[in-house]
Amino acid sequence: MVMTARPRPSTGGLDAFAVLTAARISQERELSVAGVVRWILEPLSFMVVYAVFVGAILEQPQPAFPLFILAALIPFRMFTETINESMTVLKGYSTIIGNRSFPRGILPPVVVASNVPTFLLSLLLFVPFMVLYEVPVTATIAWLPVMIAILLLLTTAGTYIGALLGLYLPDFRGAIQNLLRVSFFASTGLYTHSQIPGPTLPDLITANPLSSIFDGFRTSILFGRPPNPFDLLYPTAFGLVVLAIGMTLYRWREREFAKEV
Amino acid sequence: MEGGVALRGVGVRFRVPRRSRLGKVPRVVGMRRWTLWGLRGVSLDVGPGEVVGLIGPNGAGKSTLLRVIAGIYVPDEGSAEVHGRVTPFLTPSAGLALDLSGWENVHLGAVLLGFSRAEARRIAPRVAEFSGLGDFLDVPVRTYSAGMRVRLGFSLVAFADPDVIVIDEALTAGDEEFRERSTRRMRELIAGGATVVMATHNLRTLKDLCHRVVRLDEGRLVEQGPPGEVLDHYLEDLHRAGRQGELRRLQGAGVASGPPSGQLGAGRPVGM
Repeated sequence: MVMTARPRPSTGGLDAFAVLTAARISQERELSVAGVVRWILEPLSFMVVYAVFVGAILEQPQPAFPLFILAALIPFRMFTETINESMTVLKGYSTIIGNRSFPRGILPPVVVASNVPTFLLSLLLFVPFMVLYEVPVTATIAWLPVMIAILLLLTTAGTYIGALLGLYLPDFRGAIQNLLRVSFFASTGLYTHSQIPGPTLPDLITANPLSSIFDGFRTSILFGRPPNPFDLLYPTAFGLVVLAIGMTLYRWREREFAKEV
Repeated sequence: MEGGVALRGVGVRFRVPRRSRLGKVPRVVGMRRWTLWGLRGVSLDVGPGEVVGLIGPNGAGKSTLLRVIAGIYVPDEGSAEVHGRVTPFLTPSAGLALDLSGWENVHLGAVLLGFSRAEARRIAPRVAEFSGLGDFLDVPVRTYSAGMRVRLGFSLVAFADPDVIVIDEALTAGDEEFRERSTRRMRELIAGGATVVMATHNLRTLKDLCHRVVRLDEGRLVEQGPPGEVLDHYLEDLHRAGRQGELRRLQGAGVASGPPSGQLGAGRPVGM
């Protein structure tokens, strides 16, 4: 008879989540000067590169093109950096997973939560560029927390899948990182929907939930409009479906983690 | 019933990757893996306050059994029930995050053992004092020696208010002074009613501390009973099977020398 009776878990999970998140922030030096600078410099350097090559060479018609790109780069960095980290989280905590009984389901959200402080700090990058391009702050900026919540949902969903892929298919980690990079170019990260040619390509770009996230950030910060309902609902639904799949797979394999790490 | 352990027909399966003679076989899910049973059909009851020792050769399933009791491995067959707070101490670096400082590890370890953050803050000074690590608690654990890691790991276990303590040889890495101190603390915990399940090759420890010894071999429980009796049988079998390496290791512990039979005498419960 196969049973999964488990000795009592040693913690309810919330305290472990809080302590592991704080420990990870300390461990990764996320809130050190170097950590914050890293989180600000990276999107900034990409912004400069894209603004020069895509903006100047391809003559982008957007009036505040650097700000337009930044509204995509900052959420994209949160998404991609967190999923990359999730691929090593189970191996990274192998000494704890192999020696302590605790709810392993908290580990992917720990990766997300530990990146949130620096992500929020990096949002301050908008301020000098809004001043530079004379973009007024409007009431629609109140939609920004909603877009951030949707981004975190989508990112959390991805971390459950990322953790499993990192453990069971470590040889494909590089390929997955490339796929994440492609997801930026296959979105509205560098251009608007109206600039995408052909009958099929716009639909494909729209199907990428990151496009909705980027558009939602832009409308609330840059264009002074509330986000399109599609940009709110589609990535939310997409995130919930991926989260359900990811958590189901994760729970299915969770009991084997201590043996696999 | 806090501190009770009940295992029924427990089996734990491992899928280990096969390697070809040509080098590493590509890792593809579900392919080129062997299935090995680390434990099979193990039933064991440990009463509250009982001290049980596990003995057996390497690969017998002692560590796997301890991890089942600690809730780290979920049985693939059978069931495991453990009542109360279990505090495992399985390797010198058990549960330590190497990039964090000693203090951070005390808090993290306490919470992972089931304490709230407030309780973790409350026990931290006692853990720190017992470890004797002083200012070293401020530096990352990866800079610690094996002995220092044992000090930190055991100190946490010792003050975690355990109902069930699970120990796997880990104490042998500490220095003499700390070993004595930790043995004293173990006796205090046992006297306080803690249940202990320990795996060790140190026969004197088994004989001195345990009420009962359980012998495992190839993942199966082959014998259990009073320490003297089970250890005598174990040594006789090792001698008969010509497992000189294992005998030498036990002799290295300064316990089993000369002909094994009858040497250890009858086991006796520890009177505290």
